[in-house]
Amino acid sequence: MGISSRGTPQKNGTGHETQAAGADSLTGKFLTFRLAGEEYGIGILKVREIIGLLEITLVPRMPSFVRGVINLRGKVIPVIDLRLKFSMPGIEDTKQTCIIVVEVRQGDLAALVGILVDTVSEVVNINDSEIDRALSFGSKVNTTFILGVAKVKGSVKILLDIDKILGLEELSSIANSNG
Amino acid sequence: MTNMVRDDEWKTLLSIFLTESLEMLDEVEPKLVELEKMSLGGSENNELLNSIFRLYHSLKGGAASLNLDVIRDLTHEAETLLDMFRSKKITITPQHIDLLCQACDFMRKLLDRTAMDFDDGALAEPAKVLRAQFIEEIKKSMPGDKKKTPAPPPAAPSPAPQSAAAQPAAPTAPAPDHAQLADNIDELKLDLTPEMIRRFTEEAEELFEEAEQSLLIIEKGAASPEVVAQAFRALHSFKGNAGFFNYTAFTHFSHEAETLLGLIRDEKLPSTPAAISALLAAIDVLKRGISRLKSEKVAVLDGDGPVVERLKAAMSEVDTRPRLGQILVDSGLITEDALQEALEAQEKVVPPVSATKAADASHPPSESGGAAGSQRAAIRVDTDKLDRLIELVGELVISVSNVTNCPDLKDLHLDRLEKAVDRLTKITKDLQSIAMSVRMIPIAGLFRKMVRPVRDLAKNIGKKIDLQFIGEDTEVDKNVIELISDPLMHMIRNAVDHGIEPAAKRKEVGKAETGNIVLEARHSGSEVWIIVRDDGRGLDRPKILAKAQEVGLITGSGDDLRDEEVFKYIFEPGFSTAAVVTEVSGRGVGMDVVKKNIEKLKGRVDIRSSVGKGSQFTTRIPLTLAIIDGMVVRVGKERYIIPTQSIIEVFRPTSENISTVTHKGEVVSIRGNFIPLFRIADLFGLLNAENDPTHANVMIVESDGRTLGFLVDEILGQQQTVIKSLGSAFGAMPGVSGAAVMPDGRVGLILDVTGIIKIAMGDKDN
Repeated sequence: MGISSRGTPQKNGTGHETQAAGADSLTGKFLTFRLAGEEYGIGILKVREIIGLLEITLVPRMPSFVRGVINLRGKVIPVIDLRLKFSMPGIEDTKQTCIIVVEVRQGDLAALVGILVDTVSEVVNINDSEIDRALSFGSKVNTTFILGVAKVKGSVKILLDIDKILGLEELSSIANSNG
Repeated sequence: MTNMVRDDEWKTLLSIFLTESLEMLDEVEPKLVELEKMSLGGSENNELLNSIFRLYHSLKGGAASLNLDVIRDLTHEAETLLDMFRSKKITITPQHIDLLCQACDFMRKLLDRTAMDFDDGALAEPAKVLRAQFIEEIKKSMPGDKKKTPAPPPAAPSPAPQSAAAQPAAPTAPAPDHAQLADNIDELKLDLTPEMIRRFTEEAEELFEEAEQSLLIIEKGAASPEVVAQAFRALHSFKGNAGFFNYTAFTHFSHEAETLLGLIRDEKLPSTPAAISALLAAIDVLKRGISRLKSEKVAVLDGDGPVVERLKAAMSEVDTRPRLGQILVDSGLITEDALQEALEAQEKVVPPVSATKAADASHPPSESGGAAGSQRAAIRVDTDKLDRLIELVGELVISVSNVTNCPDLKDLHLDRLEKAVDRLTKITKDLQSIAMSVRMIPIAGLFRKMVRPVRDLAKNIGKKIDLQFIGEDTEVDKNVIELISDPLMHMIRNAVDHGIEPAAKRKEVGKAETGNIVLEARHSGSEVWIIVRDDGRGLDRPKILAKAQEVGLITGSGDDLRDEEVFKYIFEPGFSTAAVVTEVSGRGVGMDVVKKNIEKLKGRVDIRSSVGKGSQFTTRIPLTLAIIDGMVVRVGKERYIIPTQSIIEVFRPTSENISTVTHKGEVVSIRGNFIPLFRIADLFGLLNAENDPTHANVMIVESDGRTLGFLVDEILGQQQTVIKSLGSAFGAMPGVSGAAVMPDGRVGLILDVTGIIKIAMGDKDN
């Protein structure tokens, strides 16, 4: 497929536009993607770009969900397999497999991280009123990194807090714990 | 402080001032030490003294323009003291130098504070104390002389700092009636603060620049009356300013030049090459005068006589000599009509002629033009920008090779494309090497930093030491310079403290009383070697061996060890702390730290030493941290880069080479030595790697004094790669020191041999 459309032109994508829209509102644009048959969404301001799958260099002694590193126009960035991160069964990469490059921020630290997803769907406007935040997922998925679940046009989309999924501290602690 | 607004522009200026000041302090210190040396030796060096004076003076000027009064006042006292050295009112003593050095140290602190507070008031009190010391010294030597007393005379009508701000307008405004002003000037003269003089010289330089530019345009023959007028105005303003300051030499001289320019402006005189070059020469004379005024505070001109003659000659040309045409007509040789015709014809030819003449005549001015250009030859650039540039250029190189090696083009024979691609490749390579060189700076600055500590330490322990530099121009990556600074300081301190013997001892053994320490830098391949050499007592092998046995580093007698191997023990941590060390070898203070720091730089230290003759520490570090020389190896499907520096040798083992030690792993035998062998594939958990060692390669690596073998599948080649960090997303990754973009655009990991050894050893322990 190899689409490489530039994600968002907006620069200061520090938070979700949720903050902009009011104290706790999540209203805004979300990039949705597919993972093991489910639709997920991340705040569009977090997304830097979407790239087709390219060859990933394995980094030794990393947990399995760290697929490795890629060369993003001269920058070396890690790629996380979101399926494995969510403890879903891994699959062979397909033509639809994409890497969404997101900016993960924690305090003053910011880093680009690629997340590997089955396929990218679309950008949708989601209103805060459409989001159900108090949803329990049972034991399968840790819910701390879920902002809520939105029902848009009849389909369900799980909105993710990417900063929590790919916490920088977590990443570096992975690396350190292996030492 | 003053009501000056600390706006953004001010802050920008401040940050420039701070960087420059720190550089100046770095520069001034070694000079002070040298000055001390010279004065002790009884010799004089006015040039040196002047250059120190200039540095303090520039500091003061900068501080004054930013209204940093504390800095200004302190530097002013230092400057006054230096001025008295210069006028020989005081003989330089080591105490003076100490005081000046103290001022340097204090200035650094003060500048740091200023950077934070945007004001230099925080340390005003200690500054006062230091100033008082200066004033004491100054007074000591010259009780009666009031004129030179640092504090302005009480009668001064305008307090110094405020007048400074109001100054720029003053010199230009009174230009019309400067003659009248000059009458009063004797009384005013005392009030000329150095600040005012600085303003004057600065403005003068600008005016000269302006006049010169205009003159050069005139010389090319393309001048409009406006340009001539501009040159005239510039000179006139200068004359006015000089008159205001009562610098008669300047006024008179510039008057001559102005008169000539005035004649040209009023078209009473053609702008002949001779006239223009005389004017340019005049400006050169004035420039020299201004720079003397800056450094020596005297308004005199030299070499003005001949130039005045030239100016006068140029002026008289027109007044006295009739035109050639006139002569010819007068003598009846040609008719008026013919003359007119000839003149018209001449007009068409004149421009080229005058242009060539101009070229001949413009030698001296073009030189000064060049000097002005070189001032602007360097700019300050944010290092982040440079890093980004280098990154992008590296990316470009890869993209180019992606295009040129594109499989789609492979079977096509495209001659023209190939040629174009060749050119593109060459240009990109050039671009890359230039981008790399941008980060390189001469090591001289680092060397200069060593002068002060050596002097201070030597003084404290009562040794005489001469520090020499070789190869100061050697260029090294800026980051490397920053990181090498501490280890180098350690090594030099060691050389001073322990290497060089006390003077008495040196005499005893028949050496010169003054010990020599040589600091040398040079390039060798892709490394830079920094050598610290002393002619001291050298390392004591038996004692080091004894100590090594004592702490259990070696078991046998150690007689079979080479000297280098023995000397390396001084880098062992346990070796450095014990008091014995000083006695043992004279080396050891923090040597383990030195080694660690240098290893961080992917460098190493070699020691050579002979008892009684001295020792030599050779630090070898990669030229830049941005690039690494590595060998590319394949393990399974993965490729890794191993720094060439750690590799001792690579070979394909036979089955006799490899043996398995029960429960301990594999060893490889090489020339009778058994070296532990580790499979990278096992350490990294890679699949698809070659299982049979005899089909693979053994790479013998060394790090941290340990030697071991890595089993890799294949050696793919050697290449220089740009090191990229794995980013903040990953913390420290054991076994991997960074990443590199390979020629095919993929990422290759650079292995950290020390880290892998640790993993290997750790795994074995588990």
